[in-house]
Amino acid sequence: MTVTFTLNGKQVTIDTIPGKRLADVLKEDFALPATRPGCYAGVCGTCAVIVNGELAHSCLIPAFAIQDAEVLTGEGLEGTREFDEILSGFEHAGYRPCANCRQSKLLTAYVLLTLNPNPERANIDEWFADQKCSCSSLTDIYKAIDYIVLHRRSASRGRK
Amino acid sequence: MDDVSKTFIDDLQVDGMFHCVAIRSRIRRGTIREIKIPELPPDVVLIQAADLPGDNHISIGGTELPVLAETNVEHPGQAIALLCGEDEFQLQRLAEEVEIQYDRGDPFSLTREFKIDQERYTRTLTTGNVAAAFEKAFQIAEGEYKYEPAGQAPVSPAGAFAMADSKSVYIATPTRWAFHVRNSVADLLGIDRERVVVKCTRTSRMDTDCLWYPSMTAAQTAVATAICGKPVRMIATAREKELLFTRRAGCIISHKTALNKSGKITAMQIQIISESGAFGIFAAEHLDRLCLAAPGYYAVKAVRIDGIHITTSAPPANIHDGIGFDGGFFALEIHASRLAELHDEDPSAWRLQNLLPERNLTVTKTRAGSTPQRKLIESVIDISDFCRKYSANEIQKKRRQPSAPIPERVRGIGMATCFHGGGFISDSKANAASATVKLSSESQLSILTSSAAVPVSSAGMYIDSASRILSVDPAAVQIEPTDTSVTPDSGPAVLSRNVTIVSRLIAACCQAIQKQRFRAPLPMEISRNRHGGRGRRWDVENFKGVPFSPLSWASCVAEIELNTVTYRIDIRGLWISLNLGSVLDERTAAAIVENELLDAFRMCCGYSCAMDPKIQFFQKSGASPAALSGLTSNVFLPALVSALSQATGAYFDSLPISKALFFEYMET
Repeated sequence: MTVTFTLNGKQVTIDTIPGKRLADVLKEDFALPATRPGCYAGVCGTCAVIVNGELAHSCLIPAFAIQDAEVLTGEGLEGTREFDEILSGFEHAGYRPCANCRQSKLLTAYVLLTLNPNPERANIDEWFADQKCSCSSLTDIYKAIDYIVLHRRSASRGRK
Repeated sequence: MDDVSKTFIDDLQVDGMFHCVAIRSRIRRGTIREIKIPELPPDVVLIQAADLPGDNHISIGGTELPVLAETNVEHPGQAIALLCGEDEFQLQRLAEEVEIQYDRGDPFSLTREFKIDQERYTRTLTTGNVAAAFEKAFQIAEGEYKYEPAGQAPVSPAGAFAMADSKSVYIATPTRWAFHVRNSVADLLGIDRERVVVKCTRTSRMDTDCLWYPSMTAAQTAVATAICGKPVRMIATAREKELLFTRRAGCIISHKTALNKSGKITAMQIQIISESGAFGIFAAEHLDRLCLAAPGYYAVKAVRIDGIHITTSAPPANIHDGIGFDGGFFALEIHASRLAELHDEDPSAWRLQNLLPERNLTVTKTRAGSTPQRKLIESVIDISDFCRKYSANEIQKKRRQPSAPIPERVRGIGMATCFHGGGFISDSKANAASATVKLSSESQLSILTSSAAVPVSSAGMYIDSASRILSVDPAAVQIEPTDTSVTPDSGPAVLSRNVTIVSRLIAACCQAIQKQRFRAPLPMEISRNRHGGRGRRWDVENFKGVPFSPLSWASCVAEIELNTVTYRIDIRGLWISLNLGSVLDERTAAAIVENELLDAFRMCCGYSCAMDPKIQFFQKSGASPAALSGLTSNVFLPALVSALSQATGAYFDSLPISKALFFEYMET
């Protein structure tokens, strides 16, 4: 079947089998290697992408379901101010997720901070609970998110 | 095949590559009667045991695992045949259409009523006059503990890639033991080991503590590439990962303890039944470690341990960090808390009263080096306010009327203490290792070891150590990718060998370079080797000597609140004190501790829980770094279960803790 959707801001069309998972579509049809399907069961969280503004497990989304959807991956967010702030927050806090889960953790932080600019510890725990790769500690995630929140606050004061 | 160290195995592709899919057993144990294969397209190749060029097995952990089952299947997921072809989806569909008829056998389980066929390895240890001590005992306490943990399926991809030319066979796989992969492939193909080149692909932290699977898939893909004449890649499916990677060795331990009037232990009688799945992989290592941990660090003059390792109809277990010590201390520390309760004493005071005063391990009767256990216990009870909280919870528990409904929320606090060691104790040859460090004329430092790729934190540890010794910028230190044709054999990267063995070799290389760097011309290359034998220090036959050098130690207090309606456990407080000799990188060590706590809780309860642990490291300057991985979960789980027992008033004695188990214990 033919599926048309928006990928990282560009409209794209693919000819695919309906049941092919979005994770495989991104990897095989668009050579976007940062999306890393691990369990194909919505458990490990390393295949996270943003679909219509919401964080989603791309390994559980069949190709037919992305017709007309807006799909955003880490590659599509690169270069935006918000994404750079998250990257520098991670770097500043010494939070270095492994290559396998890096994109999904960046996207998790991005969506969390978009929906809740000043998250509590419990919010962070809740959002990152879906990230099962234990390459880095929760303490470092807290530090990174705290840094980004503070940085954004001081930057917005500066802009005013 | 160039550098694959930055590539995940599922991203590795070459033109004309075949995929390989395994047809696996769907039953636990039995005999294959007939295999009905659907009609195969002409470009699909079927490989069965009879097609293998060499002996149909790989040797690992003191046993032999069949590459493809011939007549008998011993566990679910055991590979029976391979399908190779261009289209992976087509192969998976064909594999599902294969019908296998079996004569089913009774599956083997971990039980006290095991069959004689299951017995693999035994160990009996006796010290002192146990019978006399039990005759004189003021009290005798007994308990049976079952430890059947399950690990987490790996997050990053697993599998292997093989290709061949006229000279060599090239393998790429995420493995912790590249040289074992090389030797397994060479032996199966019947070729010289030097003709097989193994490169390690990218992976995530602690993802592949399964030693046998990479060697097995590499052997299978190597055979497939030899038969098909094409490069072949095999990737573990989600189902295969769940089935084959989550297995951990389990045990049943029965403790019978004699106490005198003042609550001191006078004798211990311990029976251990351990298992590590089909074929008894690492049977001796698992059981020997259990025997070492079972009496712990308590002062007891008479001990008898009867251990039996059995096979079960489960996939072969991983050799995770802390293997053996986990089940041993789980049983001992829960039992110790019960002994304290039996004697109506605070568990921390009871432990301090019963700790070994001299520096001896109970079973081996030899010096354990510096023993900071008392200090760790005192520190952890002090910062957690354990004694007050324990007494308050006990009063609350005793005030509850037996007929009254249990409150919706109950609290408990528990503690545990344990020690831990890195490296193998049953097979000293597995501790052999080599490492090389090169300093170029441009002052670039290269570290060559086959133990750098997994776990990924090892590379950072080596770089920090080298840059510190040689006072060079960490950016100027490079870890060469694991490649058996270039890097020396550093042995398997499990049981904290990277910390306790390989990092010391690298440090020794760097110290040698430091001595010569301003006297001898550059470039300079220094290698250091560790021979497998532990010499006179550890006598595995008689179980005497120093099994680990150095030991690491930990004490933990866990405070919980249990919702008795939903049976959900929340961690209210967690305090852990560790002594690891010297800590190479405190931040990385703290991250490992935090992650282990989260993983252990998830493994125990099946869900995640927020926790904010208070971690204290006690260090001794100049001491060698000791093993960390596995220590945290080994000390946390008995503390958690003891807290749960106090909260509920029911004696929890097995792991994992399911909600059905709660219902059963609390209703009865």
